[in-house]
This record gives sequence, structure tokens and C-alpha cells, in this order.
Amino acid sequence: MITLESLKEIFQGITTLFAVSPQLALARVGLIFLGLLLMYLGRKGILEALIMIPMGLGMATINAAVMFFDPLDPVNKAHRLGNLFVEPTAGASADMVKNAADMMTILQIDWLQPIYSFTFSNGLIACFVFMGIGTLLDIGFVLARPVTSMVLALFAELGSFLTIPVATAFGFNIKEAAAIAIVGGADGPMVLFTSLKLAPHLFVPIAVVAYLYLGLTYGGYPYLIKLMVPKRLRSLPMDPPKNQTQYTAFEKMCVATVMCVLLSFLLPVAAPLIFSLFFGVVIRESGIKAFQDFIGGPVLYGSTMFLGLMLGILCDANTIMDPKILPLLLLGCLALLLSGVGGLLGGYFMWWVSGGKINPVVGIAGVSCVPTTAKVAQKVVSKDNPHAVVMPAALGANISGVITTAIIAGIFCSLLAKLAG
Amino acid sequence: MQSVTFTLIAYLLTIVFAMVIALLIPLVGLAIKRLRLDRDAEDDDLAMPTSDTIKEEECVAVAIAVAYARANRK
Repeated sequence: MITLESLKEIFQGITTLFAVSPQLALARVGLIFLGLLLMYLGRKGILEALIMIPMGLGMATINAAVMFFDPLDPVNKAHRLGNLFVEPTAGASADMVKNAADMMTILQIDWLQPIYSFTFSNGLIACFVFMGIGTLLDIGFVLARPVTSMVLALFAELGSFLTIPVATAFGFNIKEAAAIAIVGGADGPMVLFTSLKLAPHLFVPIAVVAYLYLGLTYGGYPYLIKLMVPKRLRSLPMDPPKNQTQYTAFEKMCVATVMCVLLSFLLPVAAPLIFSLFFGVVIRESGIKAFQDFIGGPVLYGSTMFLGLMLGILCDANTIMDPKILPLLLLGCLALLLSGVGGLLGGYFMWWVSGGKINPVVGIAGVSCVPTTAKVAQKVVSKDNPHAVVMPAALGANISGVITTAIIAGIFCSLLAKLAG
Repeated sequence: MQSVTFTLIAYLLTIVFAMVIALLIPLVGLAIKRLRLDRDAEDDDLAMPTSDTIKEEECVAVAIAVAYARANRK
């Protein structure tokens, strides 16, 4: 017979709304609508669709699909609300895993658990994304203007540094502050990697905040550019560098190989990401089409899809309502804003040093959201001068931004890893 | 205070590393160019597709010249 109690058991997604505090219930409903909004904005091209569509769907679904857990559940989910998608803290305590059978039980408790445990929580998915990004990068853009590109990237890392003292003022310790501040580098895989090394307990909220904001750079940076750079400078055309040395594919491959080995030698703690990026570059220049298609296709798009999906799945109301999330949201926003401002100041600096030859807008591309910020720079410039082409210079700054963020991640991890807490 | 000191030290180290790499990149590029490591692998068949941008330009130039010569012969 159907009773009210049995209806409550069937429609748990609804009844769990009444089993929690009103704030949490409102947060769940709000996140469902936020997820749908992210999908809409991604589909419209206002935000980065590759991340926002899977993330939005995951976010909306995970906040709808909350249920009561059976007290006999073997992974100790008794008297708790949760979901069947992923348990981020599974196996976190050493007491929970006594043998291989326990480990296998934990890995099979939820359907996305193996993806989370084997690819997300160890940074593997970040490395796959970086390999794919490497196949999109033409290192020739950096070879054309190495010093200019690197200077722009250094200015654009302002957010990664200035946010640290602000984060410590908010009550975070220096390792947590560094893990949060690197959001200013706008490099998703690097943020995942650094937070795993320096602040693993904040890994989930930092990853969520970082990717949410990376999607926002596409929407927000054009306004920052219009605010800081007047129209007559935005429309400045850029000529290609004079006497530019041309490099063959083989030569670019050799340069990428040497850079990979050198950077890994100098910063071994960031070597997995450095290797992944330059591996993609080497494959691109190697001419092995099968590998180019594989890494630039299934690996890149598969890992990006699962990355977006996992981020959405991790956006359940319990995580978002954690009191530590609000300061992370503010600090992440501050880091990206300072990086954008720094990048444009770098653009002004290079415009002045070059005697007016470099368009200051190119500075925003030093923020290493590849190739989003380079596209943003070209889009803004084209609106004011359809004949101005700044993409090559912007891509050079973009790629240098990736290299500088890797350097910063390496320095942070090397200097801070041994500190307690 | 510790965070400000750490920030300054880390930024200075980053600037030093980055500028060293910025100066090394063109030097490595020129050194590799000098060595001409792909000398033996050079393919004179300009009709073969390639990912080498310089050879691509040569291929296009040859194709244009051939098409122009054919057009003139007519």
C-alpha cells in the first residue's frame, strides 16, 4: 500500500530538501539553477562551452540527486545524506582501508569514484589536459618574441603573488594561501596540481572556484580591457617582428625537447605538468599524425569533458556551503582580477619600451588561460580595428604564461612543501 | 610579514628563472638551427605534404609556379 512514508522513500530528492537546514535547501535549489545557467552561457559562447556544459549539467544533477543512505552501507555513510556519483573523502582516513578488499570496495561505491580516484585526485586528468593543450601550441610564437612574451607573462602573474598576503590576512596559512593564489595564473591543471601538493584538504573547493572563474575570464576580461585601455591604443595594429628567424618543425621539436628537460631539471616538482605540456608540443611538431589526432582529439576532449563533469559533480550544496568557500570565492576573484590588471600594465610597459609598436591589449594574453585570453585580446582589438592582427603576439604571451605559471608552481611547491600545516 | 617576505622572494625567483629561460630560448633555437640536425632527412619532393611550415611555403610557391606555367602554355 502506498503511504506517505513510502512516497518519502521514493522521492528522496525532494524529501531530503526538508531534512536539512533551509539555507542548505535553498543552496541546493540555487545550484541547480546555476548549473542550468552555466550550460546556457556555455552554449551561447559567453563562457567556455567545453567546461561549462558538462560542469553545469553535473552541478544541476548532483544537487537534485541527494538521497538518504542506508545505515548498513559498508563505507560508513550511515545517517547521512549523500549521492551515488562520487565520495571525495572515501579512503581519506587510514582507518578505513585495512586491506586490498577494502580498497576495492571504496573504489566501487559510486559510479564516478574510479574516475575521481584514478584521474582527478592524483592530477592525472590535469596532465592529460596539458598534453592536449600542448598539441594546440605553436612554440614558434614564443621563438619570435621570447623576451616580450615572458615580460608580459611576468606582469600577468601579479595576482598569483599579491593574493598570498591577502589570503593569510583572511586566516589561511601560507601553504593554503599559495594554493589559492595560483588561481591567478589562470591555469586549471596547474591549480589542481598545486592544491594537491600544498593544501589537499582544500583541493575540491579550490578546483571548483578556479574552473568557475576560468570560465568567467572569457566574459569579464573584455570589460577590464575597455576600462583600462583607451580606444586609440586598443586599435593599434602590430607588424610582425623584423628579420624574424623561421624554424622548421624539426627545429621546433628540438627546442621543445631542450626546454622540457631544462625546466624539469630546474623544477622537478612541476615536472609532470611541464613534461605533459612539452610532450604535446613535441607530438605536434613530430609530424606523427596518428598521435596528433589521438592526443588533440580523444585525450584532450575526453579529459576536458570528464574534468568539467567532475567539477560539476563536486559542486554539491554541502561543499559550496562550507564556510571556507566564500573567502576562496573572493580570493580567486581577486587573484584573477589582479592578474588581468597586471597583464595590461605589462602591455603598457611593453608599448612604452617598444616605442608604441606593441598593442597594450596583448598584455591580457599573459594570463595563461590558453587560448582563451589570446582570443579575448584579438576579439577586443578587432572590434576597434578589424585590420589589426595581434594573435601571434598574444599567443606568444599565452604560451609564456603557461611556462611562468609552471615556474611559480615549482617554486611554491619547492619552498613550501616541507613546511608543516 | 612572513607572507610578504615569501611573496617577494618567490616573485624575484620567478623573474630570474623566467628571464633566464627567455634569453635561453632564442639561443637554443639558433644553436639547433646551426647544427642542422635534420639535414639528412631533407626531402626534395616538394609535392609531399608536410607539417614543416617553411617547406609548406615552398610547396605552395612551386604549385603556383607550375599552375602559372601551364596557364601560359595554353
